Parts: sequence; structure tokens; C-alpha cells
Amino acid sequence: MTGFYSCSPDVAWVDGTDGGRPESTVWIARLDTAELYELREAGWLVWVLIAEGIGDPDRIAKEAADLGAAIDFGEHGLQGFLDGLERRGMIVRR
Amino acid sequence: MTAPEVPIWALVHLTHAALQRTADRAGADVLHIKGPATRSSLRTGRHDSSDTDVLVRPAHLDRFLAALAADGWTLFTGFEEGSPFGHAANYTHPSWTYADVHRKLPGPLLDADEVFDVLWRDREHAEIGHCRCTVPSLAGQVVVQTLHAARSHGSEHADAWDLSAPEVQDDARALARELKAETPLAAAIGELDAHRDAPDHALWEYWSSSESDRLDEWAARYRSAAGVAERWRVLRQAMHVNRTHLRIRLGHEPTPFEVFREQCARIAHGAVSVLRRARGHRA
Repeated sequence: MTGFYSCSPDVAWVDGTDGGRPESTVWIARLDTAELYELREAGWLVWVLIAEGIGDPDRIAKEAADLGAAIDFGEHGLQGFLDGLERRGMIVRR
Repeated sequence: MTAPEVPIWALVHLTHAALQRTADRAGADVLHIKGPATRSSLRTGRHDSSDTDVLVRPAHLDRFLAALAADGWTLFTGFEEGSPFGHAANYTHPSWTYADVHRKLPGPLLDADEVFDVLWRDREHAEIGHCRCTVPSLAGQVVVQTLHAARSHGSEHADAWDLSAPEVQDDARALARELKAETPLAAAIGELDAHRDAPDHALWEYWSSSESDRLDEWAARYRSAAGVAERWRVLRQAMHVNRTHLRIRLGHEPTPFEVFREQCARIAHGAVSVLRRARGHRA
């Protein structure tokens, strides 16, 4: 897998922790288009890792494995998921 | 991946971030107030506000409102149609939650431009929606929440004040003094009697009391109005039917007859209040 991802500067996001809620969910807003997105469970974990500066896909997979998280992003895997986020302007590749 | 229903508390965070972006692009100074713009140490529990509040530098108001419109916001309630203070306009957006755009804070007797200057001078930054937003200083946050409690008719407690350390309370008192907002601050923290001779005492006695009616409100506003022109404005407002409020209550645009009927109801309500007082039904 290639690339190093970070959250787009055009997004705002908030997860359960920000609101004092025990929810593994993140709500993300594209501030330039006012589009809203929601990521749950594994998607939330990937987002939080990227927000923490862990933007290398291999390292994301390793961190998730170390946390014992089961990540199944289907046919296209983690890279396909990241591509989707990038296509929607939620993350950028550096 | 799309989220058709974002919880309102989360949407409040995201909306603050959206408003900051709009302000930045417009070159408008705004201070985020209340809700997640208030430090958690000043709140008794997690915030559950349903709208967002920003205070705009008065000189930047026009450009900010133009930028809001360009970003898809629609005016819901204008400045003159909202609260009796005429301090905020309410905006809606298809994606975001309601935004209350404040052109001034109810409470300070200092000019709105100067109030903003003072709050802006001491501003700090908060991460809301993981975006950098400008907020008042700690003492400023205490004053803003306390002044809001002062006009809640006792329904909102001065939590920020109660949760503040004595030195922060001292800073808040000094700030209130600078803003000429000592009377409303006192009203919220149970010290109003010490300001019995203040020109705005009647106003804040009304707003902080849980047992007042509309006649009390207009009487208090009349007594606190500075000058003949301001008193005349209060009298005209007292008789004016707020079409926006009526539209919201009726669920449709009011007809001329419905406005007329409301006008009559206001006069009748005022007369009943006067009669009840005359008969001694109220203390």
C-alpha cells in the first residue's frame, strides 16, 4: 500500500469522546460543501488513527491489529476504504 | 458512508466549525459563545445545546451575513423579531443546525463595538469539531453564561459562576465592570439588591424574576430606557405584533385579520394585567 494520509483541512469532525458519549462513531463534515458523513466501528478507528497522525496504511493495519480490532473492508480492503475517503475529500494524500 | 442523521450535539460542534470557516473567508471577527465554546470546567454536565451562537464584531456584521447567505444559510428570525433585546438573528441551513448570530450581548451598557473590542482583546482559541475557533477568555465565558442566566427568569442557573474559582470570579467581576454589566451579573448571582440605584435595575429585576408577566417586562424596559426616543421605541414595540412569532405559532403566514386579532389580544392581555394588579391579585 502506498501514500501517507491525513485529514483534509476542509473537514471538521467530532466523535463520541468529544461529546462524552461512549460511541465508536465519528461524524465528519466537509466544510466547503456542507456534506456530512458518519463512520462507525472499524471506520471510526481508521479515522481516529489518521487524525492521530498515523497515516501510513500499513501502520494503520498494524495498529488496528495490535488493538485487536477486526477490520473487514470487503473486496477492496483497507486501501479501498481509504480511496473512498480520499475520493470524498475527507482525507488527503501527502 | 453518508450520515443522514447526525446527533444534534455533534451537529452543534460541526456547525461551529462551519461558521468559523465562513467568518475566516469573509474576514469577519467572530467569537463563539455558549455550548461547546464554553470550557467543560464551567459546565455541570455534558452540553446538550441544539443551536450555535456566535458574536460578530458589529463593524463586520454586514460582510458576515453576506457570507452566510453565500454559504447557503437562510434567515429564519431577524434581529428585531427575536428577543426583546434585538440582539440576535437566527439562521437555518440544510446541513447545519440553527445559528444564532449575535450583533450584541444583552446586558452590557457599554456600546456593542466596545464590548466586542474588550472580549476580542482577551480572546483565546478552542478546538471545536477539531477546528480552531475563537472564543472569549475564561472570564469572558463566565460573564457570557452568567448574563444569559440573568435573563432566563430563573430557569437557567449561573453554573459557570458557581463552578469558577474565586480568582476567576474576581476576573469576571472586573470584566463585567469594564463592560458596564454589573447589574445583570449581580441579578444572576443573587446580588441585585446591591444595585438598587442602577439605571438598569428594573430591567434585570424583571428578567431574573420567575414571577413576571409581559406587562412587567414592558414596564421594566420603559423604566430602563435612556431618553425620550428610546422610551417611545419601547412603547411602539409593546404594541407591535411580531409576525415571525405569529407565523411560527400558527404554522402559516398570518393573514391581516390574524394580525389584527393578535393586536387586540395584546391590548386585552395588557388590560387584564393592569386590572389584576389593581385588584391586588399580584404581589
